[in-house]
Amino acid sequence: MGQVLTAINNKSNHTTELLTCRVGEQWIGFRVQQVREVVKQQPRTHMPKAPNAVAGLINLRGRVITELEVRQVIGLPKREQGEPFHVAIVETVSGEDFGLIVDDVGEVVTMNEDAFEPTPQSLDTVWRQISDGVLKQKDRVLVLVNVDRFIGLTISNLNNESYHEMTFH
Amino acid sequence: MDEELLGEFLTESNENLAQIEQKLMDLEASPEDAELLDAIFRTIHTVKGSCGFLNLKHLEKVAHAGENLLDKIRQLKYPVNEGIVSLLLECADAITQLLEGLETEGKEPELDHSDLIARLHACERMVSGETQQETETASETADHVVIAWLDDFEEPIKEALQAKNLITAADVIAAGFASLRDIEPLTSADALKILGVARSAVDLPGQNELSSEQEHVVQDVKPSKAPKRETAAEVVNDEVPTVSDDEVKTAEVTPEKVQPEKQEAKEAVPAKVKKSAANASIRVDIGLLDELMNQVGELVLTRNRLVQMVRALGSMELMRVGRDVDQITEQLQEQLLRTRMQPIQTIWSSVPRIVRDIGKQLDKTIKVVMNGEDMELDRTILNALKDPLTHIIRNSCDHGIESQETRKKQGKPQQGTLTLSAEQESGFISITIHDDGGGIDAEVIKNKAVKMGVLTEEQAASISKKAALQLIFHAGLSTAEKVTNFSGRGVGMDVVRTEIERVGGSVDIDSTVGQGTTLRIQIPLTLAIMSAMVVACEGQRFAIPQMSVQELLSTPEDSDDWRLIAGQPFYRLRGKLLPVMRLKDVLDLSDNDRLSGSIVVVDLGDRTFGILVDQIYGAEEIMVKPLGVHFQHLNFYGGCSILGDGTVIPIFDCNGLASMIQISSDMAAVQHLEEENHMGYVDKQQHSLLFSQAGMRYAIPMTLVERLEYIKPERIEKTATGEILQYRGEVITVLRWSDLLGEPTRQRDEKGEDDEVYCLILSDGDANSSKRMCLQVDDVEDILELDVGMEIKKTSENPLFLGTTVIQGIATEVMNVFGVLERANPHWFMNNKKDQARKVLFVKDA
Repeated sequence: MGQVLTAINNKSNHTTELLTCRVGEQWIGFRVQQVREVVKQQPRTHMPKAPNAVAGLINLRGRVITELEVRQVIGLPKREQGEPFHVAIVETVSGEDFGLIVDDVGEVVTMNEDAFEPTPQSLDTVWRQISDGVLKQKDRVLVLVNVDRFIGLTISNLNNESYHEMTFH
Repeated sequence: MDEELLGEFLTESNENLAQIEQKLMDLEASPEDAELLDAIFRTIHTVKGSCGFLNLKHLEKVAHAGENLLDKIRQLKYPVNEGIVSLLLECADAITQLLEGLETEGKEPELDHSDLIARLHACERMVSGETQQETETASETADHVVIAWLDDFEEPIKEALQAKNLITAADVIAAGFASLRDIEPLTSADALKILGVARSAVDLPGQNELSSEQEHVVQDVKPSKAPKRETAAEVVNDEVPTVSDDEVKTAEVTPEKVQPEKQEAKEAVPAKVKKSAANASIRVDIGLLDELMNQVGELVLTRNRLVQMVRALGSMELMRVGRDVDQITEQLQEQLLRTRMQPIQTIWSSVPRIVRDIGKQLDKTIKVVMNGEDMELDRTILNALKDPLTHIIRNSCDHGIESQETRKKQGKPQQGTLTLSAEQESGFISITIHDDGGGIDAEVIKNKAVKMGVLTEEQAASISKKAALQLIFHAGLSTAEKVTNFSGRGVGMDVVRTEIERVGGSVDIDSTVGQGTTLRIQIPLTLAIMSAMVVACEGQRFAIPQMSVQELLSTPEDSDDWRLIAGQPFYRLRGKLLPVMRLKDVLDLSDNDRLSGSIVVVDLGDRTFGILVDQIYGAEEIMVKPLGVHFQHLNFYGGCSILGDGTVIPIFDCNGLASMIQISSDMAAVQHLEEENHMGYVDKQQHSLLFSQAGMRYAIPMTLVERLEYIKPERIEKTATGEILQYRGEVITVLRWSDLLGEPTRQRDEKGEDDEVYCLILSDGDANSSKRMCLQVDDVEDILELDVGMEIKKTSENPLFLGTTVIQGIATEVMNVFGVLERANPHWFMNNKKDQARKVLFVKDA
């Protein structure tokens, strides 16, 4: 993983494979090295008082994984009941795996690192925080999402939660 | 330095040194025990021997000095005394200290032990000096004879040998290679040469060659990866048979020749012992065990799925295989768990030493009694327990057990007793540490707590003795009047609690002044698997650690035992009011306020509370898994687990849950009050209930308030003579405080029709006379332990009031309950009780 990051920073001629996912109308890409697998809906356990981005916990072959709703993080409306979704299981530098809930999973694309443009400053703060660059394709703009920063964002958002109101009312 | 070698050396030395303290203290108790002395000597000797290979100069010096002293004691059968044992303990400490440094820094820490070494030497001289005279004459005559066989050696060597009383060749052989090598300024080569010469001097020609061969071998061995626990002499023994072909003749004789030496050499014995121990057990990296544990955990879950599938298929044959897999998995899991277990003895073994040292320093004699030291606990938990335990023990010895004079005066045995016991209760171990010392005065703690601003005076007055004692775990509270070397710095007991809670345990304290103090630690057997109560709330399941669960109650909503005070539900349980948290409420699962379902009563030692849930499924053994980074701030979660059907279930941390309800001191006061009422105990202090009506605050002494009810307004019925309430099969008069004050009745539409109202059930206190009335008030605010009658600042003309007082800085009208009772029924006091009751009141009013 560490190597992947350096490779990106070096802006070399290395190619990168990206798993493309759709969230709402937006296409995003995760580096395949960080994606363990893509799973369908699993029975999920809701965790009361958890941060907003946390959808719940799932049991992935005996491992407990925190599922995060990507829509929530990037400020899209909540998913309708019964609306299908996929879960990309990603790994982070910390060693903990997370499930990222996306609307759809597309193909894996091989890209030259140089083809990416730096994140435009005009983008929304959240996007600027999680993006490692954007790639303009024919009919879409693909945002390369930095998984570690994405996870970090869901944790730092804790301050806005109401979890500290823990007294009886 | 070879890291692997060093690592093994450290592990082994630490293990050996762990026992040495106990052995030294045993030796102090029975100085005649030669076997014990040998064992101690061997331990130090092994450490020193290994130092040579690893080139640990400083450690070697310290160990060497200790070894020499021990050797002298051994040889001369010198009876050890307290001073020597203390010195040897100090030496063991120094070694441990050096080993610790080695472990953390990878090299020998720069510590100055020259003073210790000097004292060890001095002691050694003292030991030999006292016994010297007996042998002196013999040595003198032997002096000249002896040296003859050492002619080939230089003067300093001869002198050194003489100084060590190694005069004849037989002496030298008896001392063995290792002791020779240890004599300054002899090198290993010198030692081997001397040994060789000695042998030839006795009667074996040809030993010279052998010894140089041995020397050669030893040198070869040093840098190699030979198991470092073996000492040089042992290596020699093992290696000699492989001596090169041209030396066949010598080699053939060697085994027998060397054999006697081996038997005499001290290291031969521990080597044997160690070998057999090594065959019986091996060291395993704890990380590997953890990994295995996870794998087995997954296997268990896969097994669960398999069993379900097999059952669905209905094939008998498959069923049988399934059952086998099931059983084997279970056993595998169980046994794997046991691999991580260690007897509690591993951490208790250091206790006698701590107690001894403190005792010596403070001039107290303290006996340590241990029960259940073979009880086994998960290694991780044991490690976590070590420091808190040490701290508790120090506290007990330092502050708990009194000085000898004090004990004598109090008619106690002069020797204090510290009792450690461990016993198993379902799924967890309970460790108690009891001392028969002076105990802790709850009042002292309360005063201290008030002084430190931890409690207000009112709070201090209202909390129970047990709750007050638990304050000792509060950061910044230490009752010791003077700070000593061992404890009393005011940090510690809070750390003790934190540490114990970190591994899922709990601790509480109980004490009787003059009789002693008991600390009780409850801790899960293993971190990985715990017994938990599975409950459901709003369709979601949660696990509550069984360890904290005291009992389960089923509570219909219309139960008479519900109370609502300031919005906080309480449940009347055996005469006490139990604060109850609505799980759905604190977890924001639902807005439903109904008080129905089941209560899980959780006991955390210093506080007890209930958790109201919809349903209780029962207890289950679950494997605890950690929660991710998103839940770290939620301290009421202790982890999660996967149930048999594959769903993830959150596990609560009861301490965290408790912090979600503010079981404030006024609630404790309620509990307290109820306790007292129940026991028929009348305190000088009185409880008063505070309520407000139209922005004004009123207080009512609780003595005549039988109950506080929270009822639906429609239960108050209108009749021709006024409002009534059907209460426990009686019809009682209802008065509304607002009506009594002549205020307009509060607008009904302000509150919904369904909103329940507070009703105080007043009675004259005689259960048989069954005279009651109901006083409806607006908002109950608080219950304080406060005798409002005593603090009237301004008396009132109004028969409904006694006067005005100031409570918490707010002017408060104190209600005259008798005035109110008379309003409800003018004939209320038309019997003898009237005078009695009035008298009580007047006394207070004075």
